[in-house]
Amino acid sequence: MNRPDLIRFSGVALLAFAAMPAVAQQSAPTSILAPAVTPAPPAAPAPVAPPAIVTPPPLPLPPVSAAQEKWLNDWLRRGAAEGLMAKSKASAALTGDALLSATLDRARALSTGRVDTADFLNIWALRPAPFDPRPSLATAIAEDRLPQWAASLTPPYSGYDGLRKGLVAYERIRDDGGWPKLSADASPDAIRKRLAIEDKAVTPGEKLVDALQRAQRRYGLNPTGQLGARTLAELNVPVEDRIAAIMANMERWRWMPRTLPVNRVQVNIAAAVLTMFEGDQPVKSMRAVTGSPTNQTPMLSSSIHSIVVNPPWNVPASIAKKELFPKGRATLLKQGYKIIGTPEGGQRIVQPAGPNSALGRLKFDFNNPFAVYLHDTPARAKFQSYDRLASHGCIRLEKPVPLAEMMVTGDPKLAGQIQTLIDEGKTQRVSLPQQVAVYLLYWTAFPGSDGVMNFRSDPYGWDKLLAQKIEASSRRVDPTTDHSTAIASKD
Amino acid sequence: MRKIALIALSGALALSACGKKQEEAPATNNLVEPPIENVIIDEPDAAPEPSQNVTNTAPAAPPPEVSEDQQMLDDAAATGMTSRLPSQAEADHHADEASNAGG
Repeated sequence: MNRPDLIRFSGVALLAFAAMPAVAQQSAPTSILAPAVTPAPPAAPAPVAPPAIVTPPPLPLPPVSAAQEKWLNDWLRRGAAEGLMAKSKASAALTGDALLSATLDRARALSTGRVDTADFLNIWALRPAPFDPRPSLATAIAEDRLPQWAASLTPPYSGYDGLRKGLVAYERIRDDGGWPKLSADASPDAIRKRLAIEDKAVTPGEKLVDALQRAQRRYGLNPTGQLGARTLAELNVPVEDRIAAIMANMERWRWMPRTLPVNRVQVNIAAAVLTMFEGDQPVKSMRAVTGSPTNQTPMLSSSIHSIVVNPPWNVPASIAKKELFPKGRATLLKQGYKIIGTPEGGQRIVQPAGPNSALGRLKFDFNNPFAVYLHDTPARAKFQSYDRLASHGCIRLEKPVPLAEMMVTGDPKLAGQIQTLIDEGKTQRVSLPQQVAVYLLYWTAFPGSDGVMNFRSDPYGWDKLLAQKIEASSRRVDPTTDHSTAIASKD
Repeated sequence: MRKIALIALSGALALSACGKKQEEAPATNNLVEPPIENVIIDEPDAAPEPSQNVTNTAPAAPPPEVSEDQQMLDDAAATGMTSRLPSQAEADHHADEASNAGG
Protein backbone atom coordinates (compact mmCIF):
# COMPACT_ATOMS: atom_id res chain seq x y z
CA MET A 1 0.00 0.00 0.00
CA ASN A 2 1.38 3.33 -0.99
CA ARG A 3 1.03 5.77 1.87
CA PRO A 4 3.07 8.86 1.19
CA ASP A 5 1.87 10.38 4.48
CA LEU A 6 3.65 7.79 6.50
CA ILE A 7 7.28 7.96 7.29
CA ARG A 8 8.43 4.41 7.72
CA PHE A 9 11.54 3.66 9.64
CA SER A 10 13.79 0.94 8.30
CA GLY A 11 15.80 -1.20 10.67
CA VAL A 12 18.86 0.95 10.15
CA ALA A 13 16.85 4.08 10.63
CA LEU A 14 15.33 2.65 13.78
CA LEU A 15 18.76 1.96 15.17
CA ALA A 16 19.70 5.51 14.36
CA PHE A 17 16.47 6.65 15.97
CA ALA A 18 17.26 4.68 19.06
CA ALA A 19 20.75 6.07 19.10
CA MET A 20 19.46 9.59 19.20
CA PRO A 21 19.76 11.20 22.58
CA ALA A 22 16.72 11.13 24.82
CA VAL A 23 16.21 14.78 24.32
CA ALA A 24 15.47 14.06 20.68
CA GLN A 25 11.96 13.10 21.75
CA GLN A 26 11.39 16.74 22.35
CA SER A 27 9.77 18.38 19.43
CA ALA A 28 12.26 21.16 19.07
CA PRO A 29 13.74 20.94 15.60
CA THR A 30 17.34 19.88 15.39
CA SER A 31 19.57 21.33 12.76
CA ILE A 32 20.89 18.80 10.30
CA LEU A 33 23.25 21.28 8.70
CA ALA A 34 26.97 20.94 9.05
CA PRO A 35 28.37 23.02 11.86
CA ALA A 36 28.76 26.54 10.68
CA VAL A 37 32.28 27.75 10.25
CA THR A 38 32.81 30.79 12.32
CA PRO A 39 33.50 33.58 9.85
CA ALA A 40 36.22 36.05 10.45
CA PRO A 41 34.84 39.05 12.21
CA PRO A 42 34.15 41.86 9.77
CA ALA A 43 35.90 45.13 10.10
CA ALA A 44 34.29 47.08 12.85
CA PRO A 45 31.88 49.55 11.35
CA ALA A 46 31.82 53.10 12.49
CA PRO A 47 29.61 53.41 15.56
CA VAL A 48 26.13 54.48 14.70
CA ALA A 49 23.83 55.94 17.28
CA PRO A 50 20.82 53.66 17.78
CA PRO A 51 17.62 55.13 16.47
CA ALA A 52 15.69 56.94 19.12
CA ILE A 53 12.70 54.97 20.36
CA VAL A 54 9.72 57.19 19.81
CA THR A 55 6.71 56.27 21.88
CA PRO A 56 3.60 57.53 20.20
CA PRO A 57 1.41 59.63 22.43
CA PRO A 58 -1.54 57.69 23.80
CA LEU A 59 -4.66 57.87 21.74
CA PRO A 60 -6.71 60.74 23.12
CA LEU A 61 -10.04 59.77 24.59
CA PRO A 62 -13.10 61.90 23.86
CA PRO A 63 -14.67 63.70 26.79
CA VAL A 64 -17.34 61.68 28.55
CA SER A 65 -20.85 63.01 29.04
CA ALA A 66 -22.44 63.25 32.47
CA ALA A 67 -24.53 60.16 31.72
CA GLN A 68 -21.45 58.25 30.57
CA GLU A 69 -19.59 59.34 33.69
CA LYS A 70 -22.37 57.98 35.88
CA TRP A 71 -22.52 54.72 33.91
CA LEU A 72 -18.76 54.19 34.15
CA ASN A 73 -18.76 54.83 37.91
CA ASP A 74 -21.59 52.33 38.37
CA TRP A 75 -19.73 49.82 36.21
CA LEU A 76 -16.54 50.24 38.19
CA ARG A 77 -18.44 49.47 41.40
CA ARG A 78 -19.73 46.21 39.91
CA GLY A 79 -16.34 44.49 39.80
CA ALA A 80 -17.49 41.90 42.34
CA ALA A 81 -19.88 40.40 39.79
CA GLU A 82 -16.90 39.55 37.59
CA GLY A 83 -14.94 37.99 40.43
CA LEU A 84 -12.51 40.88 40.70
CA MET A 85 -13.18 41.57 44.36
CA ALA A 86 -14.91 39.86 47.23
CA LYS A 87 -17.65 42.44 47.71
CA SER A 88 -18.82 45.55 45.92
CA LYS A 89 -16.91 48.57 47.05
CA ALA A 90 -18.62 51.79 48.04
CA SER A 91 -16.12 54.17 46.52
CA ALA A 92 -16.30 57.86 45.74
CA ALA A 93 -17.34 58.82 42.22
CA LEU A 94 -14.42 59.43 39.89
CA THR A 95 -14.18 62.09 37.23
CA GLY A 96 -11.86 63.17 34.43
CA ASP A 97 -8.52 61.40 34.01
CA ALA A 98 -8.93 59.41 37.19
CA LEU A 99 -12.17 57.91 35.86
CA LEU A 100 -10.66 57.10 32.47
CA SER A 101 -7.55 55.62 34.05
CA ALA A 102 -9.65 53.40 36.33
CA THR A 103 -11.79 52.41 33.36
CA LEU A 104 -8.75 51.36 31.32
CA ASP A 105 -7.36 49.39 34.28
CA ARG A 106 -10.68 47.60 34.73
CA ALA A 107 -10.86 46.83 31.03
CA ARG A 108 -7.40 45.23 31.13
CA ALA A 109 -8.27 43.29 34.28
CA LEU A 110 -11.45 41.90 32.72
CA SER A 111 -9.87 41.09 29.42
CA THR A 112 -6.44 39.66 30.23
CA GLY A 113 -6.41 39.29 34.00
CA ARG A 114 -4.59 41.12 36.74
CA VAL A 115 -1.24 39.35 36.82
CA ASP A 116 1.51 40.52 34.50
CA THR A 117 2.60 37.64 32.30
CA ALA A 118 6.15 38.32 33.47
CA ASP A 119 4.98 37.07 36.88
CA PHE A 120 3.56 33.83 35.48
CA LEU A 121 5.16 30.51 36.33
CA ASN A 122 7.04 29.09 33.35
CA ILE A 123 4.56 26.25 33.15
CA TRP A 124 1.65 28.67 32.94
CA ALA A 125 2.42 28.80 29.25
CA LEU A 126 -1.13 29.71 28.29
CA ARG A 127 -0.73 33.47 28.12
CA PRO A 128 -3.28 36.16 27.29
CA ALA A 129 -2.68 38.13 24.13
CA PRO A 130 -1.61 41.75 24.72
CA PHE A 131 -4.61 44.04 24.86
CA ASP A 132 -4.85 47.83 24.63
CA PRO A 133 -8.37 48.90 25.60
CA ARG A 134 -7.84 52.56 24.67
CA PRO A 135 -8.90 52.45 20.98
CA SER A 136 -12.09 50.51 21.63
CA LEU A 137 -12.93 52.73 24.62
CA ALA A 138 -12.47 55.84 22.48
CA THR A 139 -14.89 54.42 19.93
CA ALA A 140 -17.38 53.37 22.60
CA ILE A 141 -17.40 56.85 24.13
CA ALA A 142 -17.73 58.54 20.75
CA GLU A 143 -20.57 56.23 19.68
CA ASP A 144 -22.14 56.15 23.14
CA ARG A 145 -21.95 52.36 23.34
CA LEU A 146 -20.26 51.84 26.68
CA PRO A 147 -22.45 48.89 27.85
CA GLN A 148 -21.72 46.98 24.64
CA TRP A 149 -18.02 47.77 24.97
CA ALA A 150 -17.94 46.56 28.57
CA ALA A 151 -19.77 43.35 27.63
CA SER A 152 -17.17 42.64 24.96
CA LEU A 153 -14.30 42.61 27.44
CA THR A 154 -15.04 39.38 29.29
CA PRO A 155 -14.33 35.89 27.91
CA PRO A 156 -17.19 35.05 25.50
CA TYR A 157 -17.59 31.47 26.71
CA SER A 158 -20.38 29.72 28.57
CA GLY A 159 -17.81 28.31 31.00
CA TYR A 160 -16.95 31.81 32.19
CA ASP A 161 -20.61 32.81 32.25
CA GLY A 162 -21.41 29.73 34.34
CA LEU A 163 -18.72 30.70 36.84
CA ARG A 164 -20.17 34.20 37.02
CA LYS A 165 -23.56 32.69 37.91
CA GLY A 166 -21.90 30.29 40.34
CA LEU A 167 -20.19 33.20 42.03
CA VAL A 168 -23.54 34.88 42.62
CA ALA A 169 -24.97 31.65 44.06
CA TYR A 170 -22.03 31.01 46.41
CA GLU A 171 -21.87 34.60 47.58
CA ARG A 172 -25.55 34.31 48.47
CA ILE A 173 -24.78 31.12 50.41
CA ARG A 174 -21.97 32.93 52.21
CA ASP A 175 -24.19 35.90 53.01
CA ASP A 176 -26.81 33.50 54.38
CA GLY A 177 -24.28 32.09 56.81
CA GLY A 178 -22.55 29.37 54.75
CA TRP A 179 -22.96 25.73 55.75
CA PRO A 180 -22.42 23.88 59.02
CA LYS A 181 -19.48 21.52 59.46
CA LEU A 182 -20.60 17.92 59.12
CA SER A 183 -19.22 15.12 61.26
CA ALA A 184 -18.78 11.51 60.17
CA ASP A 185 -21.79 10.48 62.26
CA ALA A 186 -24.07 13.21 60.97
CA SER A 187 -27.71 12.20 60.66
CA PRO A 188 -29.18 11.57 57.22
CA ASP A 189 -31.32 14.68 57.62
CA ALA A 190 -28.28 16.82 58.38
CA ILE A 191 -26.43 15.42 55.36
CA ARG A 192 -29.43 15.95 53.10
CA LYS A 193 -29.81 19.53 54.35
CA ARG A 194 -26.14 20.22 53.71
CA LEU A 195 -26.26 18.78 50.20
CA ALA A 196 -29.36 20.81 49.35
CA ILE A 197 -27.49 24.07 49.96
CA GLU A 198 -25.48 23.53 46.78
CA ASP A 199 -27.68 21.09 44.89
CA LYS A 200 -31.22 22.37 44.38
CA ALA A 201 -32.24 18.99 42.93
CA VAL A 202 -32.11 17.41 46.41
CA THR A 203 -35.65 16.68 47.60
CA PRO A 204 -36.88 15.44 51.01
CA GLY A 205 -38.07 12.16 49.55
CA GLU A 206 -34.95 11.41 47.54
CA LYS A 207 -32.71 8.53 48.56
CA LEU A 208 -29.72 9.97 50.38
CA VAL A 209 -27.38 7.69 48.45
CA ASP A 210 -28.47 9.29 45.18
CA ALA A 211 -27.89 12.81 46.46
CA LEU A 212 -24.50 11.80 47.85
CA GLN A 213 -23.49 10.21 44.57
CA ARG A 214 -24.36 13.40 42.72
CA ALA A 215 -22.19 15.37 45.13
CA GLN A 216 -19.32 12.91 44.78
CA ARG A 217 -19.45 13.22 41.02
CA ARG A 218 -19.36 17.00 41.37
CA TYR A 219 -16.18 16.67 43.44
CA GLY A 220 -14.59 14.07 41.17
CA LEU A 221 -14.77 11.39 43.86
CA ASN A 222 -15.64 7.72 43.65
CA PRO A 223 -19.48 7.79 43.73
CA THR A 224 -19.99 5.23 46.49
CA GLY A 225 -22.97 6.98 48.01
CA GLN A 226 -21.20 6.78 51.36
CA LEU A 227 -20.09 9.66 53.52
CA GLY A 228 -16.41 8.69 53.39
CA ALA A 229 -13.50 10.77 54.61
CA ARG A 230 -12.92 12.54 51.32
CA THR A 231 -16.57 13.28 50.72
CA LEU A 232 -16.80 14.70 54.21
CA ALA A 233 -13.70 16.81 53.62
CA GLU A 234 -15.15 18.25 50.41
CA LEU A 235 -18.47 19.04 52.06
CA ASN A 236 -16.61 20.82 54.86
CA VAL A 237 -14.55 23.09 52.60
CA PRO A 238 -15.63 26.60 53.71
CA VAL A 239 -17.82 28.50 51.29
CA GLU A 240 -15.22 31.29 51.23
CA ASP A 241 -12.71 28.82 49.75
CA ARG A 242 -15.23 27.80 47.10
CA ILE A 243 -15.71 31.47 46.19
CA ALA A 244 -11.94 31.94 45.99
CA ALA A 245 -11.71 28.92 43.68
CA ILE A 246 -14.40 30.35 41.41
CA MET A 247 -12.57 33.67 41.27
CA ALA A 248 -9.23 32.01 40.48
CA ASN A 249 -10.82 30.07 37.63
CA MET A 250 -12.51 33.20 36.27
CA GLU A 251 -9.06 34.76 36.20
CA ARG A 252 -7.65 31.85 34.19
CA TRP A 253 -10.53 32.09 31.71
CA ARG A 254 -9.23 35.60 30.94
CA TRP A 255 -6.03 34.03 29.63
CA MET A 256 -7.93 32.06 26.98
CA PRO A 257 -7.89 33.22 23.38
CA ARG A 258 -11.11 34.93 22.32
CA THR A 259 -11.63 32.51 19.45
CA LEU A 260 -10.85 28.82 19.34
CA PRO A 261 -10.47 26.48 16.37
CA VAL A 262 -13.68 24.50 15.95
CA ASN A 263 -11.72 21.24 16.01
CA ARG A 264 -9.69 20.93 19.17
CA VAL A 265 -8.68 18.77 22.11
CA GLN A 266 -9.14 20.16 25.61
CA VAL A 267 -7.67 18.61 28.74
CA ASN A 268 -8.48 19.57 32.29
CA ILE A 269 -5.27 18.76 34.11
CA ALA A 270 -6.86 19.01 37.57
CA ALA A 271 -9.72 16.65 36.67
CA ALA A 272 -7.61 14.37 34.43
CA VAL A 273 -10.22 14.39 31.66
CA LEU A 274 -9.94 14.99 27.91
CA THR A 275 -12.61 16.10 25.44
CA MET A 276 -12.36 16.21 21.66
CA PHE A 277 -14.41 18.89 19.92
CA GLU A 278 -15.37 18.79 16.25
CA GLY A 279 -17.26 21.63 14.66
CA ASP A 280 -17.23 23.29 18.10
CA GLN A 281 -19.21 20.38 19.61
CA PRO A 282 -17.91 17.70 22.00
CA VAL A 283 -17.74 14.41 20.14
CA LYS A 284 -15.54 12.22 22.31
CA SER A 285 -14.30 12.29 25.88
CA MET A 286 -12.16 10.06 27.99
CA ARG A 287 -10.29 9.74 31.23
CA ALA A 288 -6.67 10.74 31.28
CA VAL A 289 -3.73 10.55 33.66
CA THR A 290 -2.01 13.88 34.16
CA GLY A 291 1.10 15.03 35.99
CA SER A 292 1.49 14.36 39.68
CA PRO A 293 1.78 17.36 42.00
CA THR A 294 5.57 16.99 41.90
CA ASN A 295 5.63 16.61 38.09
CA GLN A 296 3.12 19.17 37.02
CA THR A 297 1.61 19.15 33.54
CA PRO A 298 1.97 22.63 32.04
CA MET A 299 -0.92 24.80 30.94
CA LEU A 300 -0.40 25.47 27.26
CA SER A 301 -1.91 25.59 23.82
CA SER A 302 -0.37 24.01 20.74
CA SER A 303 -1.29 21.92 17.72
CA ILE A 304 -0.99 18.18 17.30
CA HIS A 305 0.81 17.70 14.00
CA SER A 306 1.53 13.98 13.91
CA ILE A 307 1.06 10.65 15.60
CA VAL A 308 3.84 8.14 16.11
CA VAL A 309 2.52 4.59 15.81
CA ASN A 310 4.42 2.01 17.87
CA PRO A 311 6.79 4.55 19.42
CA PRO A 312 9.98 3.52 21.17
CA TRP A 313 10.72 5.32 24.41
CA ASN A 314 14.01 7.12 24.81
CA VAL A 315 14.13 7.20 28.58
CA PRO A 316 15.02 10.66 29.83
CA ALA A 317 18.27 10.76 31.77
CA SER A 318 16.53 11.89 34.95
CA ILE A 319 14.14 8.94 34.96
CA ALA A 320 16.86 6.52 33.93
CA LYS A 321 19.06 7.65 36.80
CA LYS A 322 16.41 7.69 39.48
CA GLU A 323 14.15 4.84 38.52
CA LEU A 324 15.77 2.43 36.08
CA PHE A 325 19.55 2.21 36.48
CA PRO A 326 19.13 1.36 40.19
CA LYS A 327 17.36 -1.86 39.12
CA GLY A 328 20.60 -3.14 37.68
CA ARG A 329 21.66 -3.85 34.14
CA ALA A 330 20.56 -7.49 34.13
CA THR A 331 17.07 -6.66 35.31
CA LEU A 332 16.70 -3.94 32.72
CA LEU A 333 17.79 -6.21 29.90
CA LYS A 334 15.45 -8.90 31.16
CA GLN A 335 12.61 -6.38 31.10
CA GLY A 336 13.35 -5.59 27.48
CA TYR A 337 15.18 -2.31 27.85
CA LYS A 338 18.25 -1.61 25.73
CA ILE A 339 21.26 0.13 27.17
CA ILE A 340 23.08 2.20 24.61
CA GLY A 341 26.38 4.02 24.80
CA THR A 342 26.39 7.72 24.19
CA PRO A 343 29.04 9.63 22.25
CA GLU A 344 30.05 11.27 25.51
CA GLY A 345 30.91 7.88 26.98
CA GLY A 346 27.83 7.56 29.11
CA GLN A 347 24.86 5.27 28.83
CA ARG A 348 21.22 5.74 28.18
CA ILE A 349 18.17 3.51 28.06
CA VAL A 350 15.75 2.84 25.24
CA GLN A 351 12.58 0.86 25.58
CA PRO A 352 11.74 -0.59 22.16
CA ALA A 353 8.24 -0.24 20.75
CA GLY A 354 5.84 -2.93 21.78
CA PRO A 355 2.85 -3.70 23.92
CA ASN A 356 4.76 -2.96 27.12
CA SER A 357 6.32 0.27 25.96
CA ALA A 358 5.64 3.07 28.41
CA LEU A 359 4.21 5.05 25.51
CA GLY A 360 1.86 2.24 24.52
CA ARG A 361 1.01 2.10 20.85
CA LEU A 362 0.42 5.76 20.01
CA LYS A 363 2.08 9.06 20.77
CA PHE A 364 0.49 12.37 19.78
CA ASP A 365 3.14 15.00 19.09
CA PHE A 366 2.74 18.75 19.43
CA ASN A 367 5.34 21.47 19.69
CA ASN A 368 6.01 22.73 23.20
CA PRO A 369 9.07 23.61 25.24
CA PHE A 370 8.25 21.11 28.00
CA ALA A 371 8.53 17.94 25.87
CA VAL A 372 5.12 16.75 26.98
CA TYR A 373 2.74 14.89 24.73
CA LEU A 374 -0.36 12.71 24.77
CA HIS A 375 0.24 8.99 24.63
CA ASP A 376 -1.18 5.52 25.10
CA THR A 377 -0.11 3.44 28.08
CA PRO A 378 0.02 -0.23 29.04
CA ALA A 379 -0.93 0.75 32.62
CA ARG A 380 -4.67 0.64 32.05
CA ALA A 381 -5.72 0.07 35.64
CA LYS A 382 -5.09 3.67 36.59
CA PHE A 383 -8.01 4.82 34.47
CA GLN A 384 -10.37 3.14 36.92
CA SER A 385 -8.99 5.28 39.69
CA TYR A 386 -10.39 8.61 40.81
CA ASP A 387 -6.87 9.79 41.63
CA ARG A 388 -5.31 10.14 38.23
CA LEU A 389 -2.68 12.82 38.71
CA ALA A 390 0.19 10.39 38.56
CA SER A 391 2.36 10.92 35.47
CA HIS A 392 5.70 12.66 35.02
CA GLY A 393 3.91 15.48 33.17
CA CYS A 394 2.72 13.80 29.99
CA ILE A 395 -0.91 12.90 29.46
CA ARG A 396 -1.87 9.25 29.23
CA LEU A 397 -5.05 8.49 27.35
CA GLU A 398 -7.78 6.00 28.09
CA LYS A 399 -8.93 5.70 24.45
CA PRO A 400 -6.04 6.69 22.19
CA VAL A 401 -7.11 4.69 19.12
CA PRO A 402 -10.53 6.34 18.68
CA LEU A 403 -8.89 9.73 19.22
CA ALA A 404 -6.28 9.00 16.56
CA GLU A 405 -8.97 7.74 14.18
CA MET A 406 -10.90 10.99 14.53
CA MET A 407 -7.78 12.99 13.76
CA VAL A 408 -7.05 11.15 10.51
CA THR A 409 -10.63 10.99 9.25
CA GLY A 410 -9.92 13.71 6.69
CA ASP A 411 -7.36 11.54 4.89
CA PRO A 412 -9.01 8.69 2.95
CA LYS A 413 -5.74 6.74 2.90
CA LEU A 414 -5.50 6.83 6.69
CA ALA A 415 -9.12 6.78 7.81
CA GLY A 416 -9.88 3.58 9.68
CA GLN A 417 -6.29 2.39 9.39
CA ILE A 418 -4.88 3.19 12.84
CA GLN A 419 -5.40 -0.26 14.32
CA THR A 420 -3.98 -1.81 11.15
CA LEU A 421 -0.88 0.33 11.44
CA ILE A 422 -0.51 -0.66 15.07
CA ASP A 423 -0.85 -4.32 14.19
CA GLU A 424 1.91 -4.00 11.60
CA GLY A 425 4.22 -3.39 14.53
CA LYS A 426 6.39 -0.89 12.71
CA THR A 427 7.32 2.48 14.08
CA GLN A 428 5.87 5.07 11.75
CA ARG A 429 4.98 8.71 11.98
CA VAL A 430 1.58 9.69 10.62
CA SER A 431 1.23 13.32 9.60
CA LEU A 432 -2.26 14.57 10.32
CA PRO A 433 -4.25 15.82 7.34
CA GLN A 434 -5.01 18.89 9.44
CA GLN A 435 -3.33 19.89 12.66
CA VAL A 436 -5.57 19.67 15.69
CA ALA A 437 -5.37 22.37 18.34
CA VAL A 438 -4.71 21.14 21.87
CA TYR A 439 -5.34 23.07 25.08
CA LEU A 440 -3.99 21.85 28.40
CA LEU A 441 -6.04 23.74 30.98
CA TYR A 442 -6.36 23.79 34.74
CA TRP A 443 -9.93 24.08 36.01
CA THR A 444 -10.72 23.50 39.68
CA ALA A 445 -14.18 25.08 39.56
CA PHE A 446 -16.56 24.72 36.66
CA PRO A 447 -20.30 24.63 36.09
CA GLY A 448 -21.60 21.18 35.23
CA SER A 449 -23.77 20.59 32.21
CA ASP A 450 -26.75 21.14 34.57
CA GLY A 451 -25.31 24.45 35.78
CA VAL A 452 -24.46 23.18 39.29
CA MET A 453 -20.92 24.01 40.34
CA ASN A 454 -18.28 21.28 40.30
CA PHE A 455 -15.02 21.52 42.21
CA ARG A 456 -11.71 19.72 42.22
CA SER A 457 -9.04 19.99 44.84
CA ASP A 458 -6.27 22.37 43.86
CA PRO A 459 -3.70 19.60 43.29
CA TYR A 460 -0.88 21.90 42.17
CA GLY A 461 -1.74 24.74 44.55
CA TRP A 462 -2.12 27.08 41.58
CA ASP A 463 -5.34 28.68 42.82
CA LYS A 464 -3.64 29.88 45.98
CA LEU A 465 -0.52 30.92 44.10
CA LEU A 466 -2.59 32.89 41.61
CA ALA A 467 -4.41 34.64 44.44
CA GLN A 468 -1.05 35.59 45.94
CA LYS A 469 0.15 36.96 42.64
CA ILE A 470 -3.02 38.98 42.21
CA GLU A 471 -2.54 40.31 45.72
CA ALA A 472 1.09 41.26 44.98
CA SER A 473 0.06 42.87 41.72
CA SER A 474 -2.61 44.93 43.49
CA ARG A 475 -0.08 46.12 46.05
CA ARG A 476 2.23 47.31 43.30
CA VAL A 477 -0.58 49.17 41.58
CA ASP A 478 -1.98 50.73 44.72
CA PRO A 479 0.17 50.30 47.84
CA THR A 480 -2.24 52.43 49.86
CA THR A 481 -5.14 50.01 49.41
CA ASP A 482 -6.26 48.05 52.43
CA HIS A 483 -5.28 44.46 51.67
CA SER A 484 -6.52 42.95 54.88
CA THR A 485 -9.52 41.15 53.40
CA ALA A 486 -9.68 37.66 51.96
CA ILE A 487 -7.05 36.55 49.52
CA ALA A 488 -7.97 36.65 45.84
CA SER A 489 -10.33 39.47 46.56
CA LYS A 490 -8.52 42.34 44.92
CA ASP A 491 -8.95 43.88 41.55
CA MET B 1 19.10 -16.38 65.61
CA ARG B 2 19.85 -16.31 61.90
CA LYS B 3 16.12 -16.34 61.20
CA ILE B 4 15.61 -13.28 63.41
CA ALA B 5 18.48 -11.49 61.71
CA LEU B 6 17.01 -12.24 58.31
CA ILE B 7 13.61 -10.94 59.35
CA ALA B 8 15.20 -7.77 60.74
CA LEU B 9 17.22 -7.30 57.55
CA SER B 10 14.20 -7.74 55.29
CA GLY B 11 12.26 -5.31 57.46
CA ALA B 12 15.02 -2.73 57.20
CA LEU B 13 15.16 -3.18 53.42
CA ALA B 14 11.41 -2.74 53.14
CA LEU B 15 11.56 0.43 55.20
CA SER B 16 14.40 1.85 53.14
CA ALA B 17 12.42 1.16 49.97
CA CYS B 18 9.43 3.08 51.37
CA GLY B 19 11.71 5.89 52.36
CA LYS B 20 13.23 6.03 48.93
CA LYS B 21 9.80 6.11 47.35
CA GLN B 22 8.90 9.11 49.44
CA GLU B 23 12.00 10.93 48.30
CA GLU B 24 11.26 10.40 44.65
CA ALA B 25 10.42 13.79 43.29
CA PRO B 26 11.78 14.04 39.77
CA ALA B 27 12.64 17.61 38.97
CA THR B 28 11.73 17.29 35.32
CA ASN B 29 8.11 17.60 34.43
CA ASN B 30 8.71 16.36 31.00
CA LEU B 31 8.11 12.95 30.16
CA VAL B 32 6.65 9.60 30.81
CA GLU B 33 7.23 6.88 33.28
CA PRO B 34 8.16 3.27 33.08
CA PRO B 35 5.28 0.82 33.01
CA ILE B 36 3.63 0.31 36.34
CA GLU B 37 3.20 -3.35 36.99
CA ASN B 38 1.06 -3.01 40.05
CA VAL B 39 -1.05 0.06 40.33
CA ILE B 40 -2.23 0.63 43.85
CA ILE B 41 -5.50 2.46 43.83
CA ASP B 42 -5.92 4.35 47.04
CA GLU B 43 -9.57 5.19 47.33
CA PRO B 44 -10.45 6.13 50.88
CA ASP B 45 -14.04 6.68 49.84
CA ALA B 46 -14.31 3.06 48.86
CA ALA B 47 -13.27 1.94 52.33
CA PRO B 48 -16.00 3.00 54.75
CA GLU B 49 -14.77 4.13 58.10
CA PRO B 50 -16.45 2.90 61.27
CA SER B 51 -19.35 5.12 62.09
CA GLN B 52 -22.93 5.11 63.25
CA ASN B 53 -23.94 6.88 60.12
CA VAL B 54 -26.31 4.86 57.99
CA THR B 55 -24.58 5.97 54.81
CA ASN B 56 -21.32 4.47 56.06
CA THR B 57 -22.58 1.17 57.37
CA ALA B 58 -24.37 0.41 54.13
CA PRO B 59 -22.25 -1.18 51.40
CA ALA B 60 -21.00 1.06 48.63
CA ALA B 61 -23.73 1.74 46.14
CA PRO B 62 -23.23 0.68 42.55
CA PRO B 63 -22.07 3.57 40.40
CA PRO B 64 -24.95 5.66 39.06
CA GLU B 65 -25.96 4.94 35.50
CA VAL B 66 -24.73 7.72 33.28
CA SER B 67 -25.31 7.57 29.56
CA GLU B 68 -22.35 7.99 27.24
CA ASP B 69 -23.77 11.25 25.94
CA GLN B 70 -24.29 12.62 29.45
CA GLN B 71 -20.76 11.57 30.43
CA MET B 72 -19.40 13.38 27.41
CA LEU B 73 -21.32 16.53 28.33
CA ASP B 74 -20.01 16.29 31.89
CA ASP B 75 -16.46 15.81 30.62
CA ALA B 76 -16.86 18.72 28.20
CA ALA B 77 -17.96 20.88 31.13
CA ALA B 78 -14.93 19.73 33.10
CA THR B 79 -12.50 20.55 30.32
CA GLY B 80 -13.97 24.04 29.92
CA MET B 81 -17.30 24.97 28.38
CA THR B 82 -15.94 26.74 25.34
CA SER B 83 -19.24 27.04 23.53
CA ARG B 84 -19.51 30.71 22.65
CA LEU B 85 -22.06 33.04 24.16
CA PRO B 86 -24.04 35.04 21.61
CA SER B 87 -22.28 38.30 20.87
CA GLN B 88 -23.93 41.59 21.74
CA ALA B 89 -24.87 42.10 18.09
CA GLU B 90 -26.42 38.63 17.95
CA ALA B 91 -28.27 39.25 21.21
CA ASP B 92 -29.58 42.57 19.87
CA HIS B 93 -30.66 40.83 16.67
CA HIS B 94 -32.53 38.11 18.59
CA ALA B 95 -34.17 40.76 20.77
CA ASP B 96 -35.32 42.64 17.67
CA GLU B 97 -36.71 39.45 16.16
CA ALA B 98 -38.56 38.64 19.38
CA SER B 99 -40.07 42.12 19.58
CA ASN B 100 -41.16 41.94 15.93
CA ALA B 101 -42.62 38.47 16.29
CA GLY B 102 -45.60 39.76 18.25
CA GLY B 103 -46.72 42.10 15.49
